[in-house]
Amino acid sequence: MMSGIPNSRWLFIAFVLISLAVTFVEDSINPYFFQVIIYVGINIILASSLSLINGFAGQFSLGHAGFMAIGAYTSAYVSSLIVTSTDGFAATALFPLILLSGGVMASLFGLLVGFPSFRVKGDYLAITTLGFGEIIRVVIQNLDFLGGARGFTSIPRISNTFWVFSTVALVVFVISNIVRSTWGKGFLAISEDEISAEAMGINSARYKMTAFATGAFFAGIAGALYAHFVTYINPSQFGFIRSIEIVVMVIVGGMHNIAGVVIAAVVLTILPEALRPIAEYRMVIYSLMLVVIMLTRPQGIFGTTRAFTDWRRKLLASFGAKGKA
Amino acid sequence: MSELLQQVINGVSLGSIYALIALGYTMIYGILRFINFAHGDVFMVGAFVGYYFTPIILPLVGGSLLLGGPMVMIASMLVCSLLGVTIEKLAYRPLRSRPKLTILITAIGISLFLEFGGQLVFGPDPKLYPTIIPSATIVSTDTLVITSNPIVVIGTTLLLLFMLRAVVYHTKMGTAMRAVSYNHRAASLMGINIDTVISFTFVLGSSLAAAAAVLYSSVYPSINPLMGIMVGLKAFVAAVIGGIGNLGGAALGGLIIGITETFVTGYISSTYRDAIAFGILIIILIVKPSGLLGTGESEKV
Amino acid sequence: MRFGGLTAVNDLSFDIPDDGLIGLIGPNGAGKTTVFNMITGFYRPTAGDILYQEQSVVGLKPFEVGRKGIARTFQNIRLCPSLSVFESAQVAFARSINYGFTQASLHLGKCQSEERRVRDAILHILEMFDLVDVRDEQSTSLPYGAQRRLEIARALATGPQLLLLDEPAAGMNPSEKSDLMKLITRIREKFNIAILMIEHDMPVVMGICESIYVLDYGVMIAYGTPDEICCNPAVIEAYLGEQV
Repeated sequence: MMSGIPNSRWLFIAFVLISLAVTFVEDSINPYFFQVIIYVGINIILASSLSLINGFAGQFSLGHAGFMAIGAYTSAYVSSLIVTSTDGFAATALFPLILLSGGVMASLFGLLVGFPSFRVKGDYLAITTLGFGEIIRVVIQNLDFLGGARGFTSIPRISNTFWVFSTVALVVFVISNIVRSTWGKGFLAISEDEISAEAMGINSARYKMTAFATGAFFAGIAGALYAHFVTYINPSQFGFIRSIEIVVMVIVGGMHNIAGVVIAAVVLTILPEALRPIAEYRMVIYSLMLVVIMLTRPQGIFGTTRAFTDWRRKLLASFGAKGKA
Repeated sequence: MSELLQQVINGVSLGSIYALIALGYTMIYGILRFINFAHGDVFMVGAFVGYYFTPIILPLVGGSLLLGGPMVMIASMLVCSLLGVTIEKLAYRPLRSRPKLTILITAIGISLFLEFGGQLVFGPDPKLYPTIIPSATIVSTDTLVITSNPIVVIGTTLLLLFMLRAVVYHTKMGTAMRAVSYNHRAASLMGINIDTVISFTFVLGSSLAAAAAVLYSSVYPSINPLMGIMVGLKAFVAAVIGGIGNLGGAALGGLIIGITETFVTGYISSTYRDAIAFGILIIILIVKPSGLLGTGESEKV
Repeated sequence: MRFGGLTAVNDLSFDIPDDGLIGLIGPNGAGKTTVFNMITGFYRPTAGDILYQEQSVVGLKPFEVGRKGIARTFQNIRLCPSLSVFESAQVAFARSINYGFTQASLHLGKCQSEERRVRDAILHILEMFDLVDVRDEQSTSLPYGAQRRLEIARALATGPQLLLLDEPAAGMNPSEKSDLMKLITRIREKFNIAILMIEHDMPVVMGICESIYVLDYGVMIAYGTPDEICCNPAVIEAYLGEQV
């Protein structure tokens, strides 16, 4: 029960169907609210995919925005090649392919970025991944066929609630399944004690690579969804601050708690919108919150899943007792 | 040939600034074993202190740059020392026994706080830094122009490095610093007050960052609250390249980054400037993670 | 094995029979744990060879050694604070579980039956180590003796042919020690595996080991049955210093 999300294939399917249903009425939603809803979805994908790398596998990465950038740019480029009309069946049918192209490319870079994690740990790894993220951004800035610093324009707008929230359901389903499985216990084992994990026959290098590749894959898809929603992307949207924002969601939600991370992603996306009247204080509040959380509750606001499950067990136990009486 | 010389002088000048900041990273890492992410922002605050203090100090000394320049620098060093010590006391000290990642995240939080707090207090727009280095042209030929700026930067850096060396190797506090960086417990059993030594390290590191800020802003006079991010990261990279925890290594790493960056800007393209330091970092970490002058520490099984 | 100029273990050679229960003793700093680290791939010996089932394990990575069937515990207990007792044992099955990444992530195919099989195996092993009742507790919150037992249970769960125990009795009280002795004997009978044990506690070593190697300054100074060892003058000298 490590993930805190109940294991249900039906929950996954129900969620996908609901998001499909909402798609049919999304024209009637206030465009501003609609945008916030889509951003909430994209941030859930980013934060929960990062929680696999930073939380469960313990490989503190500060380069998640870089993977997002790769997904966004790859997909934008691919769709500029294959999507001819923004409307209709063709674009929709091709979209899974476009999303996948972003995910796969980001995943390849994930493997590349994961490589230094064999040799460096902790804060060194943080700065290395940060460096990778910056290099990715600077290189894109210099690639003319991607628009360079001017950005990539006229990407077709295909993302909608269905695409975004089916991906949300998929990423949460997949990651909670992974960390719950016996195989997935290897992630926590290497994150907390690589030496004893190795002694038990766990190939830590392979787990790290899997974490980076999987995390980057979903970040790439999030980037692709983002690009096909905003229709215009430029390198500065994927800077270091963006990576930090995602990291904050993981930390606030709890490093080993996907349910917490999802809640944190929702709250931390909506909160800045609510704080819009005092927008200039937003990042100051953000950063102070980070420091205060570390000083008071380093395990995250929602704590570890252990606290979660303990609480749930107590609750069930009390119900059980009443039943018997 | 003279163009090359020009580039080398500019590179060494930029490199000395990185070296001064890198020393702060390396000393704090040596003692507390964590990256003080906020160090680059202490540097930024140093620049703004210089910006606000110059118009106050210069009239006091009758506008003399020779007298006023150093005074501005000292004022900035004092303010930043205070800032560094305060950050350590409020944010890092309570977490000293916690996992390293907790302190790292806190440091990132402090860094963001200084950056965005800086945008509130100083305003987000770039400001023009006043001239405090007397401008003069020292050498001028058809292809080579050496102004007083790089000379003052390099000279001041050498002076500060010399003073730092004296403090670290020839004073009681310096010896205590080295003892603490070697082993906290053993040092405290020898009667060394760890808290004082750590505070002192933050004083040294932050004041060097402030000095670097005043020099940097005199050469690149546009300052803004986010200026510390990139400069700080590059200086950190310099410290890693030289071998973190090693004072000579930090100076060497600073020079390497400064010179490479100047050459890439001059001969290839300025747009790649910000990526070059990270490229070097990744190569070093893969080839020799302990850095050029560093000695490796292996984990005990 | 050399570290820089220091020779930690020198010219050491010994055999472990397939079902032997061997003790490795020696004063602090004699190089006992270094021997373990060499066998399990954490250190690479500067010279010499280590054969396991007629194959060299030198140069293998720790996890590869683990997969060959050599499991170990650690002197300073290494348990993961965020894992429960049950989950700690689960880690031991992470590599042997018979499904792939895709199946794990979508929870399809053999997953459910495999997870059930592993669950039964874990409960079985926890039962044997008297840890079943605390299976949902945080592993590092257990009493010291129970943490040591959990480490052994976890090592055993990987299905080894050779089990290396690094000071299993350290920090235990007398009754825990006698339980431990019974447990180790039982493990060996039940699983029919070889055990090499580092231990400082003489009654424990003398009580259960068939033969004992004594290491001092990286050199083997004595070898024999418990009775031979306890009256060997070289051993007494190494422990107590030269007789004046």
